[in-house]
Amino acid sequence: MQIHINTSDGVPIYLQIVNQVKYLVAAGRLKAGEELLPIRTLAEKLVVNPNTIARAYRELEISGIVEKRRTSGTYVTDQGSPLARRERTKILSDRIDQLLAEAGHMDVSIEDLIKLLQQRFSVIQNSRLKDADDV
Amino acid sequence: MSDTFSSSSSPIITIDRLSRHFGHKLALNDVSLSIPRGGVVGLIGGNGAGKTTLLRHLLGMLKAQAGSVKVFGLDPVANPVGVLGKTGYMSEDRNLPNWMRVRDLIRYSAAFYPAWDDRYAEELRDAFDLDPKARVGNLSRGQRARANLLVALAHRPELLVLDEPSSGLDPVVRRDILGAIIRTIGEEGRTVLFSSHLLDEVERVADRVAIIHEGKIMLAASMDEIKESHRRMTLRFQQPLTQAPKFVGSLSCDGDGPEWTYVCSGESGQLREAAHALGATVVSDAAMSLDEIFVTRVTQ
Amino acid sequence: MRSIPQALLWETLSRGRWSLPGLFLLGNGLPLLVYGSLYGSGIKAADPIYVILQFSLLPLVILQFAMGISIAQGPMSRLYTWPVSSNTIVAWHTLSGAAILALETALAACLYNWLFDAQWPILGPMLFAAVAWSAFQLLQFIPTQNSVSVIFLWSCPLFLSLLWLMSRYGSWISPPTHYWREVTFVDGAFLSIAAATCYALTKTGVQYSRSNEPFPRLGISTWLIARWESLTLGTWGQSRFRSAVDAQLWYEFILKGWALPFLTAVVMFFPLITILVRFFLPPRNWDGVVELVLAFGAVQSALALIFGILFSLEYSTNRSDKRDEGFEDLLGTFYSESMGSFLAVRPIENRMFSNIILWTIAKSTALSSVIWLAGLIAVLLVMWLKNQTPVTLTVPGFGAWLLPLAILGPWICMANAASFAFIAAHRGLIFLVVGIATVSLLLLIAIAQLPREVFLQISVVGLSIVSVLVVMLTSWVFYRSGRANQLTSATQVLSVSLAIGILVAAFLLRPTDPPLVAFPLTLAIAALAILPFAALPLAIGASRHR
Repeated sequence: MQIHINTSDGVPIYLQIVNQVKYLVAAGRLKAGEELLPIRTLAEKLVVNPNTIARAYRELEISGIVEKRRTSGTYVTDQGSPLARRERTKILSDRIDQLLAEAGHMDVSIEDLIKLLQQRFSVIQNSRLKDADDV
Repeated sequence: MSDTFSSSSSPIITIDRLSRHFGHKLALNDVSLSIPRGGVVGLIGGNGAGKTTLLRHLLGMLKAQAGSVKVFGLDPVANPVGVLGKTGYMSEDRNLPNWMRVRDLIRYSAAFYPAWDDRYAEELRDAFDLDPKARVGNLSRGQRARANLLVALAHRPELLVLDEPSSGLDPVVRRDILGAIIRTIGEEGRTVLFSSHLLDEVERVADRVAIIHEGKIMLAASMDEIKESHRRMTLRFQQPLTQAPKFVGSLSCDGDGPEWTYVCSGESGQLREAAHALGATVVSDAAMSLDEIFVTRVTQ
Repeated sequence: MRSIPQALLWETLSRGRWSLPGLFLLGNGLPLLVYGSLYGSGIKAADPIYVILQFSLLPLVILQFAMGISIAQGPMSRLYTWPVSSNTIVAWHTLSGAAILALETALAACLYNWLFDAQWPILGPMLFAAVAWSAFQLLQFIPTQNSVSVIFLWSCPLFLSLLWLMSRYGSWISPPTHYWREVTFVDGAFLSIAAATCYALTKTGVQYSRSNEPFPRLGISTWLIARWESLTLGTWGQSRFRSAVDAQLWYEFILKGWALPFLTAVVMFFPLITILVRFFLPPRNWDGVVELVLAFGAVQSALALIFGILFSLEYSTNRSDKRDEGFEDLLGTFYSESMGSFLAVRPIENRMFSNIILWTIAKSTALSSVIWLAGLIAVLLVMWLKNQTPVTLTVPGFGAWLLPLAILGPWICMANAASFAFIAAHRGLIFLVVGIATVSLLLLIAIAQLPREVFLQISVVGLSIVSVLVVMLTSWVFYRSGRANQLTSATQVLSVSLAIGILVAAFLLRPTDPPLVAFPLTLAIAALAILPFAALPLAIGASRHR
């Protein structure tokens, strides 16, 4: 469970954990039924107050992404799939919003933006094929 | 912000209107603070702000010239055994008997605390990699800090007071110390109070924060409250301005032309309203790190 | 400042503005007391007893002056990173220190000569002092964290130099008989060689220290430390201490308590060897030996005073750079703000701390007195075996008080010094005491000019007043201590019994015709003996809770 905490940009630590866990679930790196690290272990690993971890886990539980089983620990729920999809959509929407805002400031129209998207997509595709050839 | 943290159980430390002079210098000015049981409190302030002075009062090393100090409901000066027997302390100058060997230090310290756990002490000694035959005076700075921490932790104190535990130490030792703090509060009912000017550490580890500046408590609240109530907003005005207007909740501002960045204290919604009232659009609205909050508050 | 010597001189004088005059006064205190009381009771300067006393007191006086100079100069390591060569560092420290020490010694000698109508030598002691400085300096800058090696490095040259000094006053193996009037060419040569050797060694030491290389070791000290540790740790074992009190007692004794008995043993060794050697040689003058041993009784008290101050020193400071630990740092903690935080945070009460320290002091002085008495008895025994007429241990006017006083002296000095040292960090108090001492000294000098009867009368009145003040002070301190709940029932019982015991013993052992001044003085001594029981807990409290 790879989580990284950064204190310099001001985002609350619990929120960073919540977002990262959501991302891991959405990306499939945390599968349904997998156990999250216990609160104390994660606290010691990240060198963060256990209460903060507990709050993060609570938030994740409220969002339905994880569930707390009484004696064993915290596990990713099976409702992961539709949730994951929703999370993926949300994450991408956030990034798209940022992109649109920037484009707006730079005075780039939506048509130019879509053309740019397609351009970048084919570039990446080509480089992937090229890598496959080289191998 | 209030001076006291809300809590259901009785506070473990109560400082009431404490003042302290050193000659002409006023080191503490009418300080009131109440620290509840359980959790980690970070006391932050610049050099010479009064952190060490305040902590020394808690251990009875300084007598209250005005006001009162109570730890576990007792006066540390009148009742050293009652207070110090349940407190672990790490001093700013890492004061330890230089002439003792590590194993003597452990043996000696064990005699003072009924709750001393020999096995735990040995675990710590091993984990900290302290050679029992080494003389305390010959230890490196990091090892010395670890030895000091060992003596403070091994009797599982109800209250752990650490004065600038990370100062002058490399990142590995700092991790040890923070790890020890975290493991301590893992156990029920134990309280940690530490002072630091390394604010990223305080941000990670503390539940509550008290900012002390020039001998006065400027701010005392939970970490969440502080983080949620300080925001950095960038406003874009309709025309370029030479000097940006202040509004309720703004603490500082910086910028030029039509865009000005404010550091504000208050609720997000209210701040936006105030901004709109001035005729500006909110371009960005970001959270602030504890470091930035502290610097803004203190340089106001 | 135009030059390095100028800058360093300014530094010494401004840094030593308290320690130089202060330790000058302190150093002169005991001789003035001893000589003054003898002179006052009619024993003129020509009496041979002064020879022995001079010889015994001279090293002690020089030591105290040297400490003052050492504090004023500061450790040599402070100059290591500055653009000065090691040669300059050592040369400057040695020459200026030797000059100041010789000057102080000469000044003291002149003072005594003037006060007590004597013609005691000045040049010899002056030169000895100058060389003693270079030796003192050499020993003092060796890092003090290895205490055992320090002791042995100190005691061997100390021993030899004292032997040499004694030879100037008499012969190598007999007690002093005459003053060191002529400084012969051989003397001068010997002193020069000694000085040059010390200088060379100091310079080597500075070079090693400066480049942070370890000193060459012989391994002797390591072996000795191992022996010492097995001895001391063996006594207390590897197991837990039974209580906090046990732990603290261990701490105090192992650190400070053993110093006085050890030093007594070392110094008592000296006359004992002399006696044993003489046992096999044709008998010469025996009397001086007993006087020498008795004189050491007085010196023991002075040493106890110095070691008493040790008890308040903070041996726990965080000094990661060992090179900086010179005398200044040890004695500098005398001025530290408070008891170190490690000791201050021990969960024991002030009065418990006080009892522990007093018990350690009692053990220390008792041990020391036992060693001293053993030495005295050995000497007397040897003399009796050789069919000499036994020397009475009574001095006219003193009765049989001499021995009990010699035993009580160290306790009084050490325990009160410890109490004083804890409060002494309150600078105001130091000023007060030093002020009183200076005024008394000046008064003493002034009235010593008067005719003998007037001098005697004034001193009797003066001493009586001082004694009454001491008794009043003791009562007040007991009152305050009781109010602050710092007196355990054990302490109360102990102090009362001790005071009564002293008074009873003084009465029983009194001489046939005691001087009038003896009555108030006895009260004062009894008061001083019990003062620490009340003063020390208060002093510790003042130091621990600022």
